[in-house]
Amino acid sequence: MNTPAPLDGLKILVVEDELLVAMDLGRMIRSLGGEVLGPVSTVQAATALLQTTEPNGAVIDVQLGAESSAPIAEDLMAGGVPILLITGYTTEMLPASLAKVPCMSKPYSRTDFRKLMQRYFRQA
Amino acid sequence: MPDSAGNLFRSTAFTTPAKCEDVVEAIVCSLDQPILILRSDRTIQAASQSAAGFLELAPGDMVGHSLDDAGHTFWKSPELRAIVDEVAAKDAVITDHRVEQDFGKLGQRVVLLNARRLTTRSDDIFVVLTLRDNTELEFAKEYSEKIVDALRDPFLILDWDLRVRSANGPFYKVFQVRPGEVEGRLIYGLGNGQWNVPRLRELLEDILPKNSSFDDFEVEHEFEGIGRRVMLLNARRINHLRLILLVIEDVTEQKHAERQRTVLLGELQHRAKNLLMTVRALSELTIQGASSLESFGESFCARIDAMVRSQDLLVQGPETSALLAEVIRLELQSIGGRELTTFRLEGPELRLSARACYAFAMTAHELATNAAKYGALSKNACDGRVEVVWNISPAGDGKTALRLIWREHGLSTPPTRKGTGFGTQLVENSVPYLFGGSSVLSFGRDGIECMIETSLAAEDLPLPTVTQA
Repeated sequence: MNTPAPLDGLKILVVEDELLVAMDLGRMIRSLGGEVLGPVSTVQAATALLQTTEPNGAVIDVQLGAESSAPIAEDLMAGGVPILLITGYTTEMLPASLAKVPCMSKPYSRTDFRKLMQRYFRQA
Repeated sequence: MPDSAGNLFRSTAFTTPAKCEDVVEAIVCSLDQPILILRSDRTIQAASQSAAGFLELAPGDMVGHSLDDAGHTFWKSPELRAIVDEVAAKDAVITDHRVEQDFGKLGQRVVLLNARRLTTRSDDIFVVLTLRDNTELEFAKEYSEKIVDALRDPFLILDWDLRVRSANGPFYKVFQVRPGEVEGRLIYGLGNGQWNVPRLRELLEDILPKNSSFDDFEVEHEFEGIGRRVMLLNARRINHLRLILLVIEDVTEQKHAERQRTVLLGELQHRAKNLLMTVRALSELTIQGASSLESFGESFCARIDAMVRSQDLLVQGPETSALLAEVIRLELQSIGGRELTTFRLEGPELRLSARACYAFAMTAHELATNAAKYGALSKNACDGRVEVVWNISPAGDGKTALRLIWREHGLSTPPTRKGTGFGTQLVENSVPYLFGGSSVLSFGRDGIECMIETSLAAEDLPLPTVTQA
């Protein structure tokens, strides 16, 4: 391929509490040429990571065990970082502040997710 | 009837008493209702046919006889004497005097007596005595009262002007009120005005008069003394009695259970979706490290089996929890390990939450698989053994520090081939990813070692853990 990989040069934060899902997300991001920040499984770990690095995008699971990831998502949005949400719940259950963020319901199609990441993170 | 009979006596058409009496007698005889016209000496002047049964006299034997000749003792009783005497002498009016007697062939009857005096122009005094058989009505009333009493749901009987006529025991119990606070009051004024709900007003005042009933009208309200409740109301209008029956079913618990069920169902769906997601991620990640379809199938199925074993343990345990020792034991047994012969577990009892159980199970599964293929339990080992030892200590913030060492014996040199990168990643990350700390793989004196140091929050240790001093 002559064209650069779709996520070439982009640092994508992964916040997901299921290790296997997080690893798989990481692999997808890397296969598109992106660099993975994390993955992390808690709000605390994400916050710590964000103090030293600025991502170009983030994939965030809405629910991290018992805690909500909304605070991180809101912070990133405020800083103009594009985010994609994934959720095991229905998308109607999202907090109002995140209602307009693109959201994929688990189990999502890998093809769709790749396309969404390319379009969304590249565009931004 | 006595009044109109009185008018007959006074009517100009009948001028002589004898003739009047004939007319009255003819009228009385033609009536269905038991009625007696008595002289003040209690002689029967006239009687309707239906009175005969109560008197226990032949129909033809009534007129001209005294009540003392009646077959039934009631007519000779001081009670009846007093009534007749009082009416005849003092012009008293007796209304609905209740008598319950066994009237022989008629059976047990409830009779309401009405009596009043009739005076002719010639000053003859008569007593008009009517009997109303109230038996069926009283039975029906008793029957309906018993039905109402037997209802477990609160029940109100309202007048058409929406005042409470009566309420049943459950009503008083559920709403913690006394009869005096309810009977005769407008339904809207009960308690703290809790029934003064616009929609209920509309139903009672507008809908009920047109439709004679409504069902399952839901009222959710903060009820004084009993808190927030959800009630379903059913109403029936009884036109001929001008009453409204209102049954109130407390469905608070039911509603609560429904909501609970919805939440549980949502949680179940959430878990199913997450599980499918995890299984797919597992398959994707396993494919990457697999050299052949066979090796993929073997690793993938073995990992799924480990997840199933954890699930089984969690289902059996209290509050979906599992013991750390059990989790590790099952993984070592699954690759043919025998406790106290080829493996040994030592550490305090530690009960893990579901997510902690899965994290330790994945770690133990990868370590055990590796031990069976390349480590202490493989054919490369001499007198191979696995020791798993752990201890716990308080770690501040209500957390419990856990240090677990997986130590293999029986290998003189490190295995030439390690497992796939993915297996190692699972060992190194499964626990630290969720709970922090580290999981470090190394080669010890005579075998592979893995040291896990982490700290678990109270929510991941469902039963209080006795921490070692």
